[in-house]
Amino acid sequence: MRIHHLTLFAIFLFACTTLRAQQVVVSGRVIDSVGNPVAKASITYRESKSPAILGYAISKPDGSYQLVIMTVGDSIELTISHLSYKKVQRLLPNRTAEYNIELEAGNTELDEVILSPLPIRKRGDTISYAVNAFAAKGDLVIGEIIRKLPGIEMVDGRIFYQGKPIQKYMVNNLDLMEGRYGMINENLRADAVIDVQVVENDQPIKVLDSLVISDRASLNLKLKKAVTITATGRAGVGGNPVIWTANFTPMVFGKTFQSLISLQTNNSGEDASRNLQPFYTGGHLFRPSGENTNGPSFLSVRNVASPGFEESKWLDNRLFLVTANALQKLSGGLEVKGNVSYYNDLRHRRGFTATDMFLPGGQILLTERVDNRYGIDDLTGGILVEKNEEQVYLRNKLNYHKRWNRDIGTLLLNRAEDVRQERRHDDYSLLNSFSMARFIGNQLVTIQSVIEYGETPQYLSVEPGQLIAALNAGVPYQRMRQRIDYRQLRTENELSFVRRIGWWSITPSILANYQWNRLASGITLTDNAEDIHLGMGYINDMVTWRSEMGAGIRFNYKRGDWTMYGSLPLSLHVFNVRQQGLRPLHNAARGTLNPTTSVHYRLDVRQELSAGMAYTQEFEEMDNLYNAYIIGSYRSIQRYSARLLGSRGIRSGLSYRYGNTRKGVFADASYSYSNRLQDYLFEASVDSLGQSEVRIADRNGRNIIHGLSANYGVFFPSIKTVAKLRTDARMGQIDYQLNGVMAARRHQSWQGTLELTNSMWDYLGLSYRWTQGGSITHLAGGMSNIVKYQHHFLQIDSHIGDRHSFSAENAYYRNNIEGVSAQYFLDCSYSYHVVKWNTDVVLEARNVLGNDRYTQQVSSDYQLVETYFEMRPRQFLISTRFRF
Amino acid sequence: MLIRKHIISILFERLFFQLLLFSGILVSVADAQQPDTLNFNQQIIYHVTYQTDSNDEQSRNELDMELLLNDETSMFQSISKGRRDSIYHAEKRVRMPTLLMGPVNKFSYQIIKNGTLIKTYDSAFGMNLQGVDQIYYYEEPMNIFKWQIKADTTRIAGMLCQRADVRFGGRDWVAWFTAEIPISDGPYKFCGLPGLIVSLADVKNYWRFDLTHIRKVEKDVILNFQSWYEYVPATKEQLFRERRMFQNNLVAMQEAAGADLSVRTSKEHTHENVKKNVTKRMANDNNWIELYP
Repeated sequence: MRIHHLTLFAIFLFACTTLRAQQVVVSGRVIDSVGNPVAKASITYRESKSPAILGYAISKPDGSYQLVIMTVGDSIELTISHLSYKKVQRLLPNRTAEYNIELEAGNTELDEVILSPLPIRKRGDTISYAVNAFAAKGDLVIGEIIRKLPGIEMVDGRIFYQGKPIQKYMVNNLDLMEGRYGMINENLRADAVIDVQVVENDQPIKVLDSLVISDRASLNLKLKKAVTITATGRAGVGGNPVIWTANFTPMVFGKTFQSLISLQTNNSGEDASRNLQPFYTGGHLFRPSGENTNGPSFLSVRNVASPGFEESKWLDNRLFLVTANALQKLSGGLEVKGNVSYYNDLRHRRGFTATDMFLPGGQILLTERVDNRYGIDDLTGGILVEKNEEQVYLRNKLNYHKRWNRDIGTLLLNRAEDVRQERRHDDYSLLNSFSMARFIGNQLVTIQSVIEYGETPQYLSVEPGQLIAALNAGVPYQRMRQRIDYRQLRTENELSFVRRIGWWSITPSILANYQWNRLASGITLTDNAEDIHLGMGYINDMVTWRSEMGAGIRFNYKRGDWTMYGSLPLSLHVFNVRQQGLRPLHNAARGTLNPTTSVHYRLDVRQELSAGMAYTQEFEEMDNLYNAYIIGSYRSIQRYSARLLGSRGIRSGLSYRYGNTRKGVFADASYSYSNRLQDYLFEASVDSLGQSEVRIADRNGRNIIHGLSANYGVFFPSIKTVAKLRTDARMGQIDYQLNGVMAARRHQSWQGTLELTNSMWDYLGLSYRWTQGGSITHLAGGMSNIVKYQHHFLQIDSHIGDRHSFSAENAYYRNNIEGVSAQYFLDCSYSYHVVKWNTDVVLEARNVLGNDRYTQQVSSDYQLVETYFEMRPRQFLISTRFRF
Repeated sequence: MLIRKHIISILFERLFFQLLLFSGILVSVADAQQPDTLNFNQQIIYHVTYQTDSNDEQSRNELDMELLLNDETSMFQSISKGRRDSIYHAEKRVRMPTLLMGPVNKFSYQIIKNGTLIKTYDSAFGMNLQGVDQIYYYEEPMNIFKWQIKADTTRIAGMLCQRADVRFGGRDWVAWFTAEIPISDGPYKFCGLPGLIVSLADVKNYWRFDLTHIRKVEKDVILNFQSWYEYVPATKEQLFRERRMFQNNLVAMQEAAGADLSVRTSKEHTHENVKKNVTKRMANDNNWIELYP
């Protein structure tokens, strides 16, 4: 015991002496060159070569300082600094001492510093992404920034925020392009934009603002200047064969006037017409029906499936495009918008298809070598007047759309027979869409009315004549021709009354819709320069009209963290069909009830849960009611019985949303389920040549789909890196009937994508994407097929100084098809920046490795299709990119 | 009790001034301090984000504030206040009395650091109906900040920054300062580190200051020219306590002072609703930069 106490005492003594030994005090005075004391100098010490300061003192008005050193190292590094003097650094032994330090005058000029604001900020419902924080040196246009933002996905040019497509795309709060925002996205220079803003739960129609709650998001680009006049352009040529590209896109974004004009041409694989596609129609109070509808296409030239990756690697095109758009805001809040666009595109597609059909009687293998040329002309123009004020909403849009296609297909069937196909498809449509809302007392009265007329004449000619068993009693003949004349007139009208009652907003409405269609078709066979007219079984002369009278009620409720939506539309439909003088449907009346409901609950500011359910009861369009044959393609022919096709089912879903702007983390997950029972089945019968005939069978078919999807996006500001993870899985079962046997096709598919984008360094930009997916299809008779694939994509951009940039794009595709090796594509480019003219000169080498074909597998109802597709050859392009 | 008395005296003062105003007599406020010009050559801008209601992230807001410096003195204020003051001074304008049915503006303060003292001038209740703005002023020593330097370092905009922690105003704060800029200063009252504070936030991230710009300027700031200011020597605790009291009793006091809240501008705008809303807004204004029980 005694010894124990002694030991403790010894330890205590030792500890005291060591502690005393550690108490090193460095003190002294800081003076200037003439001996005057220097106050407010900071005296810091650190272990030598360590960046972290261990302790500090600030000199007092008399210049004195005292530092207690708390480190055990042999030496310390003392730093004395003051804004008006030169910095002094000294390596000193770690022991108590007094040092007087003389500072030499020297104005330490403080550099101007500008720090970027927080990369993602949230204020109310508005999330602002600072463009600076996400920009890499090589980013030219704003779309390249938007694509990277966490929480935002871009799929084929369409922008999604937390899994839902955006409902509006504005620049300085004005919507110039009305859904055709690809033009701005791909051409507005990124450095003109200060913030990309996403407004959650945005109600763009002001009269509805406090009445109808929105769960959709709008996107706004906040420009650096109130008036921005800018243009981007590109011009280049190359070979071999000769390629060119040119694009000139000037734009003006002011407070009351905005305009965008674009002239583009290329044969380098860029489908610029995609940017004219409207992603939303906008403006409609409750239902998005204010866009020209495309007439149905009954005929097609046998095609090869295009590869599911970047278009510029395979698209063989020759495009000319011009578009002009303007917006003027007048006094009184009236906005007038006008647009006109035209493009002409000639496309060439070559490839080979091997189709393996799983028929109840066995398998059929069919091979087709395809060489197709498509000519597309498209013209659209419109004028829109809109007044969006607190008390009144008014909008009228008049739009004309015309499209005329000329396609020529040559095909080598089963390596033996040449088949030539020619298709013409024209489509014209004139549409007027009108919406109005105004308050009468406390009640908002809304009127919506759409009227559209369209014509879609079509023609297909196949040489030599096919489908000989069905059309010519098994005797070969020279040519078959199919003509179709299709016209439609539709009008949709709704009157509704929106009223707020406490936490509820209630909207009763009535509607009256009418649709008239005419389908005329005929088949002509030609042999030995003589036309063979087939009987009535091959001529359709069908007029259909349907009217719908309906009444319904919509409601929404918002209180605290709860939001609910619901609607209960009840309609009476009357169907009429006149076909070849007969009336297969005469005032056939059907009722439908389509209730929907959804509930949203905000768990906290970052998290939201939603659930929704809908019961649907629908009748198909009557375009498919013709009972005389129509040749759809060179090896398919179909006719249906004139009866109403109906289906009913339920859809439901659950979703979860998370957004933490401060940490830059966005996530969402959803599950969906749909179960649909239709009172018909398409029945295909395929003969031993693989030629099919499609009929409608009078039996019920069920279609069940489960879907799961999840997205996760995170931004790491310290390393300027965005990571995104997307996953999708689907599982389903669908009934089908083939050659008289009914079966269920069970289908599972899944896909996951990881995407990393790094813009940390000025001299190096990295972007990597990895997609892995697959599907399993189980067919009747125990047959099944499995498709698996993985894609890797790596882009490296390096910048040397301000002038030289080099970039390499690597793409790697792999699937599980036997005998097909993995494919690796490499594209390289070098660009030289001419500072004086703010222009880049770019030299590109595309498809450096000279890959000539791409192989893929597609599985559909009852067949496994293996195709290869001819790629663009190895090509070089020299171009110049400018912006001002 | 004492506070209640004080508030009642403010109330009577207001009634008195109102009477004077009505009779058209202009009163110059007593205890006016002499105008003083400070010349600054450096401007450091901080972006401030804050949350007025600790339970509601929707109440987050933001503004820009400036730290103006010369060799001896620094001043911290909101950029908009600085701008407004210079316009009032240049155009010799006088502020009109305004009735604000809401929380007192918490960003009308000016903090001047000089020598070893931090001097705060803060409008206690905002301008009253009589056009008087009571400016409470108080001093604190710079050594109230007991900084604990941490070994963590990071780079912000290329500057090597080091972490330092401090407890102040009822909150735990984390500062990132850079010794590369030997200015022992920072946003709000914060100072005393061996370098400029680049980023500062409380651990719950309710309050956050991020440096966005450092600029050379030539700026004259004229203090105390405002004829409607009434300077009141005070303590910090007194200011916070009385301001809280004032906010809690705002409706009653404004009504007592003759404000008519029953004017119906819309159907929802009833006397009860206004009272309820104001009371709720006051209760939700629970997250001032310095917390006192």
